[in-house]
Formats: sequence, structure tokens, C-alpha cells
Amino acid sequence: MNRVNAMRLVPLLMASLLLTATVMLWPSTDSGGGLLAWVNVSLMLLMALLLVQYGIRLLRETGEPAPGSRLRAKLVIALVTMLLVPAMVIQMAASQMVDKGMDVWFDVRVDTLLDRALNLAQGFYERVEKDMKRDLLDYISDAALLAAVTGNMDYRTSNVYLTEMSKAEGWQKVELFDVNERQIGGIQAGELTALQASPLNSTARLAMRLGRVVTELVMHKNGEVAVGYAPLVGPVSVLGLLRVEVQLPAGVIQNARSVEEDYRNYRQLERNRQTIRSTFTHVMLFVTLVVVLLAGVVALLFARRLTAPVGELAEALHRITEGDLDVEIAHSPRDELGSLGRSFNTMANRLKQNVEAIEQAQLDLTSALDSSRQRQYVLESLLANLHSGVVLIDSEHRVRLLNQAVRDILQLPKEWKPSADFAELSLGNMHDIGDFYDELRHQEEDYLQREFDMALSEGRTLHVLARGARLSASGTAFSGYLLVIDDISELAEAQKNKAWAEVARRLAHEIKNPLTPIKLSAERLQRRFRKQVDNEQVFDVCTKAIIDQTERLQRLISDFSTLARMPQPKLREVPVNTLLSDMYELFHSYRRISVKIIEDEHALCQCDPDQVRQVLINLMDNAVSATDETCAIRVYAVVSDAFAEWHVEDDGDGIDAENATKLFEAYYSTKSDGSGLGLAIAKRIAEDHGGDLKLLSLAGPTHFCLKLPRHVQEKEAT
Amino acid sequence: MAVLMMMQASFAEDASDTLHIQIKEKVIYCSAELSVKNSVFKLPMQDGIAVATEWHVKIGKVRQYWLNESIGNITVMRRVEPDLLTHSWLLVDVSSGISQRVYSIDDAIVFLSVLKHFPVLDRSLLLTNVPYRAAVNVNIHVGAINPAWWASLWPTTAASMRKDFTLP
Repeated sequence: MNRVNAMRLVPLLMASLLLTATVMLWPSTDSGGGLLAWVNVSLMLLMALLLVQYGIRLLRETGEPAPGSRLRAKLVIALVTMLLVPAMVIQMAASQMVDKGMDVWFDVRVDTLLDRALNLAQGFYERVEKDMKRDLLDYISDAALLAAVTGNMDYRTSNVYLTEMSKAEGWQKVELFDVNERQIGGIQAGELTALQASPLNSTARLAMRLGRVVTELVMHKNGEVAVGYAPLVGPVSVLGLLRVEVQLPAGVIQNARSVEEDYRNYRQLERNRQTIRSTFTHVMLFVTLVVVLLAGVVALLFARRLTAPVGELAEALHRITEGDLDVEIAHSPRDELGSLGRSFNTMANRLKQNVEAIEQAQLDLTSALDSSRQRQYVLESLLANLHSGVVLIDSEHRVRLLNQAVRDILQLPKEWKPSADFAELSLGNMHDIGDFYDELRHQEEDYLQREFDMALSEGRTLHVLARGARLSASGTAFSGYLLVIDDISELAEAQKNKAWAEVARRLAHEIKNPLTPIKLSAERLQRRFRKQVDNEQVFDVCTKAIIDQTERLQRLISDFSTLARMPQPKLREVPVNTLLSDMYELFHSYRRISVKIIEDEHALCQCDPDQVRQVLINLMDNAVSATDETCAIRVYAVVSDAFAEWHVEDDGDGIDAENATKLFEAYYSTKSDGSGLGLAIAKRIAEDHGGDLKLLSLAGPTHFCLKLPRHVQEKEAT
Repeated sequence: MAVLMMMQASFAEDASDTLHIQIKEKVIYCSAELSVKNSVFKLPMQDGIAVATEWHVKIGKVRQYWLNESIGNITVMRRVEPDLLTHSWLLVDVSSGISQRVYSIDDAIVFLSVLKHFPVLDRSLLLTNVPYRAAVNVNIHVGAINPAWWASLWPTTAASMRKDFTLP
């Protein structure tokens, strides 16, 4: 997990901590804190929910967050943390101080002191009551009092007696009641109005009922009074009740009550010790939470105000990154961010201008490149479609360019490629090209043209027309040499044939006409003057020789005439087997000749059957004449989709390699009576059909192949 | 909030308070008794701290699909003020103002924890064969009662009793 993803978990982590603290601080029934505790819990839950919501929103964010939001969140977290940490420290310190204070307040010595003070106060009251009870016990069976309550003493006497008792015991008020709770007499020191009879309370009745001295403390408006009730017990039963009051000393009472109040307050505080601590904690926590919340809100507002320009700047940067240069951010007045915004706008404006300039330059470059490419494409297309071979050589004699035609013409090896050294390439059978290049380089003229023969691999001879030109650096910024190579073998052959045809035509024209009268004359001589000569035998030999040589010359002239006026082939669909059958019919008298018919009887070939038959007869004649009776001759055909081939093989002695190269040339023959035009005419026929006549093997067997296309295109045919 | 409800439920389960409704000829009486621990009342009073119980008695007509209809509400507040100097306890009925001093702490505890034969409603306000529910909620105040208005929003200690009854 990277740092960015870990940062996304911070709000959830804080929320979990807050929730944990919430659970720990959840108010219980006896923990105290009351409403404030629930307020705190609510605030903490609220903050946790806000954090959870923010954390979930962060986690669900898949793309880039809104510009400035992260910075805003970090600022808020930082500010709140800056406030939270000291607040928590203060709270912990305050809590510790409260704990210490509590320990001091509720110290055992204070507790003991208050207990003793209370015991003193209680002792005072107990002493007063004890004294009062002891004094009253002396009057339970007092005869004067019994006489008074039984009506045996008049009112004045009894009051005098009561007054004496009051003075003797220090009672402020003395009242005497009979058994029927009627007041018999009473005196009070100081105030006569206080002598109003008040009914006996339950305590007084209890004292009479139980026959015991009872005391109680009563709060009066003038202070506290100790009241004593003494039953007056006669011989048989209780006859009356003596009620006396003693005003307790105000100062002592006040002190005693103060002690009691202090004790009560102390005990109450002690009982509420946990509650006080809890309340203090919750108050501090409430203050902290409120401060944190307020700080969060203030931090949020502050961060929003602070990060808004940053977010705007980030958004603008993002748009620029996306390629939108029409960006301008609002200026923040007179602060650093405003200055940053203005600088950014200036930068964006300059960037836009630069980009526009670059785009314009790119357009110009693209246009120029397109033009250059177009020119290059035209040049490459031109070179590729040229039938002339082109080689461009730079001033350092390295090949810069060569087209496919030159490769095809010269059958160049793979080493011929751009940047190769031309001098190294033009070795071996390419030395003619190298010589031509050297001549071009060393001559003063800028142009050179030569025709020469080149012996290529596999014994093939090529007649080449080479043209060279020196390229100067002044016009094209390129200096070097341009070689144009043309294969003019066919052209030379055609010219040669044309020359032979012309020769043949003239020979035929000049020689053919006198031959017939010569032959006729010789025959006439033979018929008319044979009987008149001395030696008939010599005469016959001579005339026959004239006739034979004349006929030979006629055939020779006929062949020359045929070669000179070779008619265009008249193409039609001809079964391949038909031509083979013709050969069989013509040569079936020769046992050593075998003709093999192909299986596909319907295989056709578009050709002139007369001319093809002439070729095959020529080949068969050559085979028959070149072999003896023991040698077999085989004739067969092979048909493919595109071509039909007629093969003639013989097991004769074969053909010399030297003769083989001139075999198809006109007027070349190994036979004494041959014109040397048979195979030349046969090859001419094959080529006129768009095919070829080849010698596949010189001997063992001697193998000729006539290969013709089965379907000649109309245009070519015409 | 769920935790709060669980806590309240556990508190209610601990208590075994009793509530009885006595239907007399003209008046409906209620008798209730808190079975709180002795320490709740006794220890504070022994320390001289005043303790008060506030009884809220509510009579309502039971409705099945709606909130019960309130018939009558009565609040009774009883307070015991200890006097440590004289070892006596002043029992004060705050509602009526009647007070009595006793010298036995047990009497004071009974005064606080028992509401005996307390008249709550005139019988004429109720109908026969109609289900009613008597609910008694008791708040216990230890120490001085906070007179502030918000103090009553969150009672510190409470006991609740309910009793359904029908007029014969």
C-alpha cells in the first residue's frame, strides 16, 4: 500500500479512535456527568460520523480528487491536531490536578477532624439532654407538683413553686399539665406572652404514656430549645406532666449547627466525589470538543479560503496538462497566491504562444516533409517501375541507392545494398561494371555510355548498355555518380535476327531466282546430252552434283526465307496429345522412338499447331540424325496449370558444352548439310508463343524442352 | 443508543418493586414499594444528607394501536432531612407541607420507599370493563435538589412500575 492510499485511511482511523473513546466514555447510571456526558457522547459520535463519511468518500474516490481537497484536508487535520494535542494535554493535566485536589480535599485527617467536631457538637446536645433528664428525674415524684396536678395546690402557690424550680434549675420555661393535658401552671422567664398554653405533642404524650423522662430539641424562631418532659408519677399512676425548656446558647448552637452543616456538606461532596470528577472531566471534554469542532469549522473555512486559489491553480495546471492552454485563473488581490496566479497566467500565455509557434512550425515541417516524402515516393515509384537498373553512388564511392531492376538485371547478390563500398562490390563477374565506373570517374566528360557483355552466374551471358553521369554538388547538394544499366540482350538478339532476316531476304532474292534455271538447265543437260558425252558416269556425277547442290541451296534459301518472314502464330486451342499423336504417326516407323501420351486427354494448349509441330519435328529429326539405331528416343508431355511442356530425350552421345552455347544461334550447325537455322527457327517460334525452348541437359540423356503457356493473353497473342 | 436501552433494561430487571392498585367504592388507591438497596437511603442519611423520593403516578387508558390516553397524573415528593446533632430525621411531605420528626432511621426509610394506600383517582373517571394502566416512576434525589429546569431532563436514578387493571 503506498503512502497516498495509507493517507486515505487516516479519517477512518481517527473515527475508530473516536468511537473507541466514545464507548469508553459512554455514561453509565452511576458514573455521573448526567446530561453533559450524553452531550459529549453525541458530539463525539457526530465527529466520528463526519470522519467516517469523509473517510468513505475518500476510499470510494477512484479518480483524481478535486484540486486542493487533499491540501484542505491536511490543513484541517493539522490545525485540529495542533489544537487537539494541547487541549488533551491540558485536560489530562487538569484531570490529574483534580484528582490530586480531591485527594487533598478528602484527606483522612479532614475526615477525622470533622468526625470529632461533629462528636463534640453531638456531645454538647447529649450533655444538655442528660443534664435535663437528671434534673427532671428529681421532680418525678415531687409532692408539691403532685399536689398541684391533683388540685390540692392553688394556682399562685404552684406558680411560685415553679418559679423557684426554674430559678434553681436554670430553666427558662416550666409548665405543669395534669393527666388530661390541661395546663395547671406555668412560668417563663422574661416574656409573659409566651405563657400561652400550647398543646402537648406526641413526645410529651409518649413520656406520659411510658412514664419516662424524655427530652427533645425544638427549633424556635429565637433559637433552639431543649425541651424536657417528666411524668409526675403518683402512688399508682402518672398524674401529670412537667415540661421544661432551656434556651440553648446561641453561639454554641450556631457553632454546632455549622459543624453539622460542614459535616453534611463534606459527606455529600465525598459521596459525589466520583460525580464531581466525572462532571469535571465531562466539562473539560465538552470544552475540548466544542473547541475542536469550532477549530475544525474555522480551519475548514480558513483552509477553503487558503486552498481555493491553490485548487484553482491545480485545476488550471491539470487543464494545461490536458492540452487546454486557454486557461486563466482569477487574480487574488495583493498576496503571494495572487502573485503566483499572475505569474501562472503569464506563464500560460507564453506557453500558449510558444505552442502555437511550435504548431505552426510543425505544420510547415509536416508540409515540407509531406512534399519531400511525396517526391521521394515519386522517385522510389519511378525507380521501382523502371526497367532500367539505376545505381546511385556518392562521392565516397558508396552505394546510396539502387533499384530492384538493377538487381534483377545483374542478379546482384545480397551484399549489394545502400552504404556498401562500390569498389568492393564490383569484383568478380561484376568487374565490367566496376571498369565502367572507373572509366566514368577518370574521364573528363560528365557522361559515358558503353555496351558490353557480362558473364553472369550459371553461364548466362548478358549484353548490357551502361550509361553513367557525374552529379555535381552545385545544383543538387549531392555529388556522386549515376549509373543506368539496361539489359539489351534481347534487343541485340532482335537486331541480330533482324540482320540475319535481312541477309536471308537478300540472299533469297539474289540467289533463289537463278537457282531454278540452274537446276532446270542441269536436268536438261542430263536428259539431252547424256548420250552424247564420252563418259556418262562422270557426266551423271557432275549433273547430279549440280542438281543436288542447287536443291540444297534452294532449301537453304527456303530456310532463310522462313527465318526472315516468320509468320505470326495463329493461336487456337489444341490438345496436347494431338501433337504427340502427330509425332507418333510421323515417326512410328522408328522402333526406338517411344511417344507417351498424357493421361489428361482433354488438356489443351493455346498455340499454332503447325508451328509447334514444326518445332517438334525439328527436335525429333535432330535426335534421329544425331543417334544410331540402338539409342532410344522418348517423347512425352507434361502439363501444369499454366504451361504445357513437350520433352524430347535421346540416349545419344550428347552435345559438347562449347556447341551448346551456340546451339540456338542462326547459321550454326554441326551437320554437314544443315542450314543451322532449324533450332534458331524453333526457338523463334517458342518465343513468339511467349514460351521458351531450352536444352535441359547436354547428355545422358540429351534433353530438350519446349515450354509454352497454355493460355496466351489476347493482347500478347495479337 | 442501543447500549443505553440495554442499560435501562438491566436496571429495570434488577428491581423487584411492587405496585398494587386498590379499587374502593369511590377512590382508586395505589400502594407501591421500592425494593432499592438499603445503602441508597441509609448511608446518605447517616451522613446527614437529605434524601427525597419523587413519585409520579400516572393512570392511562390502554389503547392497542396508539399511545395510551392519559386519565390522571399525580406527583408526590417525600423528603427526609437528617439532624445529626439530635439523631432525628425530619420527614417532609413536600406536596402537602406536612412534616414529622422521627428518631428511627428505619421509619425514615419506610417513609421514602413506601407509598401506602395513596389515593390517586376518583373512580367516577373510569369506565367498567375498560383496561387501564397505572404507571409509577420514582426518581431518587440524594442531596440538595437542583432547582434548575434542566435538572429534570435527566433523572439520575429511577424505578418504574406498571400495573394493568380493569374496573369490576
